[in-house]
Amino acid sequence: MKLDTWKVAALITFIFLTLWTILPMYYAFITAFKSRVEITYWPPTLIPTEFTTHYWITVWFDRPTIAYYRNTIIAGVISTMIALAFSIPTAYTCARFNFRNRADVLFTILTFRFLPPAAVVLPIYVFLRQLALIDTPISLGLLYGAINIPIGVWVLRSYIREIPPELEESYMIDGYSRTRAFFGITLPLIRPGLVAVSLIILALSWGEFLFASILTTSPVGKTLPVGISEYMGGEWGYEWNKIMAVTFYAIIPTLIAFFIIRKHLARGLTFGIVR
Amino acid sequence: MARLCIERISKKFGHEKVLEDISFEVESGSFSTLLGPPSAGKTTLLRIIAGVETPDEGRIILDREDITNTPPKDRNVALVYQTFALYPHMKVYDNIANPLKAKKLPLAEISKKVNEVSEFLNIRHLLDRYPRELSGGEKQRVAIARALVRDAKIYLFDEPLTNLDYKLREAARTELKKMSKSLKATILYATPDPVDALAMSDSVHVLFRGRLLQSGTPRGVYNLPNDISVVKVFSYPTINLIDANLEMKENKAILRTPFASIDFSTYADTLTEGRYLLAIRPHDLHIVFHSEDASSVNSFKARLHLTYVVGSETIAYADANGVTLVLHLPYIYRITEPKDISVLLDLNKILLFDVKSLKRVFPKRGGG
Amino acid sequence: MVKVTLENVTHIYDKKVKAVDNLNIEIPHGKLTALLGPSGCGKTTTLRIIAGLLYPTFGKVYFDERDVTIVPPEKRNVAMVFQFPVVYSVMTVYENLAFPLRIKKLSKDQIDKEVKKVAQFLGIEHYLHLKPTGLSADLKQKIALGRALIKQADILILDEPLTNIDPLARVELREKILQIKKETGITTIYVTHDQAEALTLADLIAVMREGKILQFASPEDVYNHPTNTFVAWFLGNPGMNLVKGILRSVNSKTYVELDGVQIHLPTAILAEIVNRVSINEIIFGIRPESVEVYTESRPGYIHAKSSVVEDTGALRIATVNLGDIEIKVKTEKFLREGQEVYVKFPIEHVKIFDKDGNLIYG
Repeated sequence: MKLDTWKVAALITFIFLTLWTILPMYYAFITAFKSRVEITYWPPTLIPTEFTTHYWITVWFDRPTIAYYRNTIIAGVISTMIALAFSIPTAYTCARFNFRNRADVLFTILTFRFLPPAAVVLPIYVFLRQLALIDTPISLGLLYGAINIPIGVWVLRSYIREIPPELEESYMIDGYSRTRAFFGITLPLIRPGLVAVSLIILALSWGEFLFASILTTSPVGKTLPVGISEYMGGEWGYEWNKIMAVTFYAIIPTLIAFFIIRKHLARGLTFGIVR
Repeated sequence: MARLCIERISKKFGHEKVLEDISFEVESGSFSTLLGPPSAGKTTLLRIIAGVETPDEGRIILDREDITNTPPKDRNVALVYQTFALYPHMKVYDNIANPLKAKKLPLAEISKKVNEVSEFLNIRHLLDRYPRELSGGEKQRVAIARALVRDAKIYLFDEPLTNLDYKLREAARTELKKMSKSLKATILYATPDPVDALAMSDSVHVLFRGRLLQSGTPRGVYNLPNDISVVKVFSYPTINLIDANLEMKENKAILRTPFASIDFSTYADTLTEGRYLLAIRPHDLHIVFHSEDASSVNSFKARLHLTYVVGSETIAYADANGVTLVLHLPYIYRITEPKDISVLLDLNKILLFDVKSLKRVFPKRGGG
Repeated sequence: MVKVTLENVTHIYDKKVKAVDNLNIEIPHGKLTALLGPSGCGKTTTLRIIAGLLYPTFGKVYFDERDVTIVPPEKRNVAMVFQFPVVYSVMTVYENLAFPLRIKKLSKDQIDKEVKKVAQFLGIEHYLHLKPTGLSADLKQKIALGRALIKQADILILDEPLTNIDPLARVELREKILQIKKETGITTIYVTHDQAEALTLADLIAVMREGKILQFASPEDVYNHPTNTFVAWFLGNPGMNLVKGILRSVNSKTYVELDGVQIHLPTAILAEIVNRVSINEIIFGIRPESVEVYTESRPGYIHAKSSVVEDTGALRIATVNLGDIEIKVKTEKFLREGQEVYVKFPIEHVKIFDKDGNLIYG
């Protein structure tokens, strides 16, 4: 009998937590189908009395949403490429070579990730303005890339350490240089790690708001998170239906990305711990 | 086929001296064994010879060329790892072909050589598979194939049999010996197993805690070990070490042990009185079955209390006046309860070591 | 002191691989039973089923009369030692040994007494205050053994515990295991692929291959009276020589022909073989140590040439060629490679198997 009570209690908790998580998302989703009037109803309706898909279409046209989407993609891709370009060699060096102060170097790299954006955003603004790099997705991409190098190093280092150094050594003894061994052995074998890191960085860049809002001024450079925020406090009040529609358009790629890397992500984070 | 000279190689990892002033030579075309327990430094030495590790001091000379600072890719040395180190993302064919691709040989020639070597090692049918699909014995042969396919100056083997099943190891030993004879290649083979050294090699180098203790022919080192550590490494299943005292009276020399007084007069002309450590191998102690031998001065009484039959041989434990002796008998001998026996000591096989330096003092002849 | 019975135990991995195939075995109490076989023969799977780390696809497991087939490992009262020494590196050696007793909630004094007793027995009392990191593999394995012993379980299970220990230290550990056997009388199950280990340690050996038990008998029986060619070949260092041959009858003389070499056997024996064999194909077996070898010609001895000679210290293992046949010979004599030798196969050591590998004479 005792077991059953535990099971029932566990089940109830489980259902409760599931609803707690899903209900808001559902509500957000369904709000995009509501009419302008219905979004103001109190108490809010769970099922729209008037089902309309109108706003799902207008959000593409009454604001430069397409431009925002384009900028977000550019920033995301550039950030991933920059982060990988720098974190791969760093991770390799820190994994394979036992140099003095290696632990300190790694620690320093990792602490950069915890830099509060608010503390550095103004100096960066001034710096970029002098370079005339305000309001472009490229500069955002460079910035995001730099910020995410620590994550790249962290994840890739554990993937690289999983590969026995004998494989690279054997390749070198066969007649190749260490560089060739890196491209012939290390890179192919850490492919899942590369995919995971790329998607993580892409997702992080995708949702970044603080830097984007300060460093961009027009649809030339603004990204989706900034674009969505513009719906808040406009002349029409809060147009929740439009906000929700745009938001869902914005998060679809990240949802897909996370579904793909789900298992790789857990592996990368827990790798080094169980040795 | 090339001659390898190791000159005064030393290596430290942090504060730990992993290799200390190692010097030896491997003759061109010979099969040489690096014998030593784990952590003796064998793997580090092989890695230094291959070039994936740099020594702190010393030189490596291969085929009259100083390769100490040459990168691994230019050394023309092949290394077979204990863990096989097969490339998991490549098929067996590509694994074996890899060193040839590095030399940029034409594809037709690569194909010919890979097929030849796979045929020789009986793995031709596995060429299209991936390493994860192979058994332990198959992986080992692929690792060897990848080494043999190239015309290396020297082939290094790092304990290739350790990760194999007992039966595979047995068969592999005979195969390796046959193979080395037909190849006429220079081989340096690292192992903790003294049987590998005796069974397969032309010369042996005993490594212990980073130091080279002795070099010589396997039988030579086996018969005349320079040091207690060498004789320990080179005995199965263990070595009997007994405290002994040499007394000289008139013109007789008596070697006294807790259980026997041995007439050592014929051998003692090079020795002085005093304490020694006597070493005798288990299979040089014989159980006496004929009464005439029992009265010989070199036999003594003991009480056999335990026997283990291993196939057609027996390991027996006897107590001789408080000293536990291990005997290795080449026949089956079983006891159900303790039995009094007479044991004969083969005088020719006695080894005496100095108690302080632990170096061999008898027989005095040069080692190995 | 518990006996273990496996009834029709079969285990299939991934719906395809039959690791264990209809095993029926009664492991007696108080004895050390070895499960011996090559990699992949199913011995480790069988062990895991007995330990409770695996529930078999079919069949039942009994400890004495109790059905433990799906009882979880912690409720089976078994102690297990693995191939890789399992020691907790965050605790001292003392704590490692005390751990199983702390779960049983014994008093501090009792625990201290037991830990010291086991530590002394295994010769590790000087390491009690140290942490396991940095200790040699054989010491770590002694700690693991200690932890298993201190539990005073019904069954002690060892999965190739000496594989990762270097040869010199292995001897001492083997001694300890034999001492454990003698002094505690605990039912022990020992998995290994090393036949010498099994012959030294076991009271009973179950030789396994491809999921089946081929022979279950004492070490002497398994060595001297193998029931099939696999057991004959697997036991022994090296194993039994097995050569395919044909029974021939010419001019009312019957003999065994092995690839061009004729072996004459006493008529009475040949008659017995001929009766048992429907086809005249047989497999001729003789152990390397049973082959008599000389370096000078003698009447009744067959001429051969040695090709490879392996010196193993006390003995030599020579591969000799008689015509096209290769035979291994084990002798104290010092033979050389390429030497002409003369061999004889004494009839009392000859074994004859049928073409499927089953013993028909010997």
